[in-house]
Amino acid sequence: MKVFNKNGVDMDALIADASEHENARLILNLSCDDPENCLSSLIVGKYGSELKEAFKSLSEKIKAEELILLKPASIDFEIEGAKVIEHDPNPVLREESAVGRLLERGELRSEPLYKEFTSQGMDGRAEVITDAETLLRLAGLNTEVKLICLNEAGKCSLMVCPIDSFAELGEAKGYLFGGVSGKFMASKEFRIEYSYLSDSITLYTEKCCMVSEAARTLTRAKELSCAKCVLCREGSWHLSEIFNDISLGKGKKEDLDMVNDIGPLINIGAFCSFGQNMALTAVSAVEAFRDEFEEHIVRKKCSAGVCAAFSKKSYCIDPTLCTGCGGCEDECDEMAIEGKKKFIYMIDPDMCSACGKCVEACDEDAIVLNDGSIKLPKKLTRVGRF
Amino acid sequence: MSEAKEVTLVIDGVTIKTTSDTTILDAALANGIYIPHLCSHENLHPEGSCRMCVVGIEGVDGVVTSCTEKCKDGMVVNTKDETAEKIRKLSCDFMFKTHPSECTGCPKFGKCQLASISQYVGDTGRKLKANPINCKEDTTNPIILHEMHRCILCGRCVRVCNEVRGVGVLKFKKVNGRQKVVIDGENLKKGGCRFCTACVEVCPTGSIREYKEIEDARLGKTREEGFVPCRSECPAHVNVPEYIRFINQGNYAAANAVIREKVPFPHALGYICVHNCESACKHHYLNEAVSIRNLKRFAAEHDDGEWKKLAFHKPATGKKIAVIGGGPAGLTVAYYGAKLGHSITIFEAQEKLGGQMRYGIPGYRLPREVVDDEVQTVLEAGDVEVKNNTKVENAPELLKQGYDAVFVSLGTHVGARLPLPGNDLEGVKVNTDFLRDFENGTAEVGEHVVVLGGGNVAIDCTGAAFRLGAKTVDMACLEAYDAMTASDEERSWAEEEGVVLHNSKTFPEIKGENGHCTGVLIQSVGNFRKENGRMVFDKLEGTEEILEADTVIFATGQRPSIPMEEEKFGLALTHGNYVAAQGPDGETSVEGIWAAGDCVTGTRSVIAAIAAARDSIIAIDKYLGGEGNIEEALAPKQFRDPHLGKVENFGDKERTAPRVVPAPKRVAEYKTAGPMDYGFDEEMARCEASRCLQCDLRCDLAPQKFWNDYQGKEKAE
Repeated sequence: MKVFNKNGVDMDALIADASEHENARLILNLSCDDPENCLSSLIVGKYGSELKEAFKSLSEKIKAEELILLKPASIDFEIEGAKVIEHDPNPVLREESAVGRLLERGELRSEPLYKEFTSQGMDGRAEVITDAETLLRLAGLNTEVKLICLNEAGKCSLMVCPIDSFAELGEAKGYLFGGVSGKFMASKEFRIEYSYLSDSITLYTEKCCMVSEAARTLTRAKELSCAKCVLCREGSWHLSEIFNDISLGKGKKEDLDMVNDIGPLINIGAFCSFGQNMALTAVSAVEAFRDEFEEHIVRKKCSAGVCAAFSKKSYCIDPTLCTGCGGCEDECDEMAIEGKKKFIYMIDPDMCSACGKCVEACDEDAIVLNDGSIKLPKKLTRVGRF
Repeated sequence: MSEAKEVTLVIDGVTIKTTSDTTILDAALANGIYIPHLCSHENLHPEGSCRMCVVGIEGVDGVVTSCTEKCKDGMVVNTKDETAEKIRKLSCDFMFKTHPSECTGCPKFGKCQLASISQYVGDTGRKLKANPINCKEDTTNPIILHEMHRCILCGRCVRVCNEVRGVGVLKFKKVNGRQKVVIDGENLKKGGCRFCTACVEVCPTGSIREYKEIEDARLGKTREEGFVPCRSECPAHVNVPEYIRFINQGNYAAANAVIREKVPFPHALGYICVHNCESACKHHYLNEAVSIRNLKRFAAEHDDGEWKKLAFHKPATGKKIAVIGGGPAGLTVAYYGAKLGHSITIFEAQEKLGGQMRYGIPGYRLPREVVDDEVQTVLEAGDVEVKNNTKVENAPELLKQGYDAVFVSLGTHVGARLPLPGNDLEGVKVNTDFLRDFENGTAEVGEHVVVLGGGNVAIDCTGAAFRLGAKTVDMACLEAYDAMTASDEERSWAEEEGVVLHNSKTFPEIKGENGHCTGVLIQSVGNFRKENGRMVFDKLEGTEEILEADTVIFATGQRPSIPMEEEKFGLALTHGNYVAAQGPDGETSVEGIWAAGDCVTGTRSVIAAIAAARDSIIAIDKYLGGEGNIEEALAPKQFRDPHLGKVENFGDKERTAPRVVPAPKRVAEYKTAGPMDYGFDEEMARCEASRCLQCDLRCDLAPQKFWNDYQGKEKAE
């Protein structure tokens, strides 16, 4: 049976082509995941020795002169004889040409496709680039199933699902198939295929707000974008801004129309598959959870109680935990945090936009939503005196 | 790689034949079909990042990037595809949301490709949030100014710097999560920038520019002139970057041949040229100009004569040209006139040819062997006869004697003796006589010499005075120190030799006893200025002092040796007794007579005389029935490598000093020690040549085009 990779490239033909050339190189790409749903890491954990074997056998087959292991620093893995190049996980690296440019020039920047049914890489050398799962398939492993990174409540585990079936998933409010450049759905009826879109499944419980989850996902897309093409670079910025604004209570009715206007155009016009798919992630979020978006925009309400802008709760700094380091004050764009070093910092609830940046900045987890149960100092108080 | 095949495709209904290695964008543009494009540039690899050039292709879903997609046989392309147009507009919307909305305040207004494209693509009115780039202008680098808040990240600067120049001082970097073009290093100099300004040339917006001063100097000039100031500021337009590159490549004879293409005295100019090129050299924004004149001299010292085989020589025309005055201008006309096949007769008032090169500029600055050699080359250029010690009293008379054309270039060999008391005392001399006597070995000075004047000729007089044994030499002039007409270089030589400068002084009287001068009364002036061509100044009371002097030399200008009465010399005169000549070629009041050089312009420079004489001989040749073409390619074809490579601190490389003989030695031993300056050795020349910014490389980059540039072609077809 023929083996295709997740981009639909005929690997057998590619390998046959590469083995006809001298000084070919073989690259195992473990940096092609959405960093929140790192399938490569799970595969290495379970099939580490098989991968090494498959890599060795493939390198012999194409008489590879140079072996490269492209991986995030977080994956502890090595292959004898392979040079390790580290790069954080990024779905932009799903494009072989982007991997080529990274190796060639050391920069993450999507490249015009240079491959047309040949193994010829950027510098003219023959090369075979493969992700972990495709490498296993080439060795005859897991050929009828899809390996999936299942992300429940932030915990990832490896799941196996037959190709062309629905995955067996627990009930949830929403699902995200394929991570940051994937598809949001309210139903779990998503047919598993051998593509990057089936690499991961994220479950969202009733406690989740889909607006803030969409905002978080698109913000991640903006950060991961290689920023080369206008539509992806600026598009991911506009889409994440729209979602973040809605989550902060600044949403307008036209916002959803804007997503549906620019999203499909970005999907068609963006340079690489990351940019194209990232736009569909946004469009699918609005399609699957329109009611929840409209609730935020029209009724100014977040049923899940996540979006702080709508809740009666407001952020405060727990005076028993604050160490007076001042890290939160530097993060606040609204100048809503006052205080000074060694004193307990305080948030002015009238100025706070509940963006949550200070929460992330606080190493003590001292910044929390307060429903009135936490007593707060009324004036500047030295740390430890309250 | 498979070989390119012939393919036929249809773009917007037009059938186009091209090859399979051509992109759709190039095929369309070559056939007058405009597809908007921004990140694409003729000299750069396609990037596909701006998404402006997307098109629809029959049978293909979505859109295709025409700058990266190659033509295939049978393709049917629609550049106005509905989806493609929508994507273009969105891309344009996005770019404008990061770009300042106010265009009129931008220095690139009217020349901005982004503005031009948005005009073509049109506004969608989409209400997107503005996403301005917060960054300040960076004026810390020389020559190149960064105002990256206008950057649309097309990446052309990064690509040209990396791909074409191999420098890589610009790169992309995410700064606080936002993509930016940044300098790879602390600043441009430290990052290894070669200051070639290719980034400026390709930037479609006003983000990367040169400082206003540099851009303004280019107004009204062609690209070639504007980009290469050393070449355009040289009166004879010697191709400076080309010969410096030949020196860099180790082909010194070729460098000399390049200079020879425009001037017949490369070696002499290498010693004494006033080098307008260096004043214009952009390297002075980094530290100091490239030492071009010394490089010219080094090239001329490596003349192998090969160029002579390539020089043009036209058959004899039977026409006769009389040249009055065998200085730089006259010799230039003689040289090209002889090569054009005319018979030349030079009438020279002095014993030898060379004019100011021999009788003005002292021999310790310009060795006479150099002048002799180059004069000899002129005499060997064809039918050239010299009548020395012959003064022509009337120019039109020569036409009557059978000359078909006359060229007047008798220079300015009469020094001006200012009308002040004591100017006729014994011991008072004028510059021209003094320097001519110095050349002939008959000049004498006393112990204390005062030179009046502040130009380069005055400097030469001080140098000659010291060499003749003067114990003190003072120099007084009206100009302030930094406004003197003498060049800094020549003035510094004089100072090394011990001249005492008296700036901003007037000299109302030369004192004397028993008919011999004893001193010069000088007085400070304030407010020195020119009004209607006349000097106007206020004398400051109580500042009078007397400079002791047994020799006083006027170096306050010089004039042609033509009688003031027009009928005597037979030509219309101007400003007293200068020859009135019109136009660049120097037509005089009498048909068949041209004039150029100092006798027309007043005392200028050798290079200016050569340049003007070249224009005259072109006109004369046409008058005599020729084509007036004196262009010649004497140098081999040069490989102009666009690749410069990164050189850290390139901009800080210091100007190489020539081997000037120390002042005491050069004064004491001037008769035996050869020239005062030995120029560059090979190592110095190579080092100095490597400082050249190679401004001419920018001309090889394609100029920016706008949609109406293609539109014109479309209409024409």
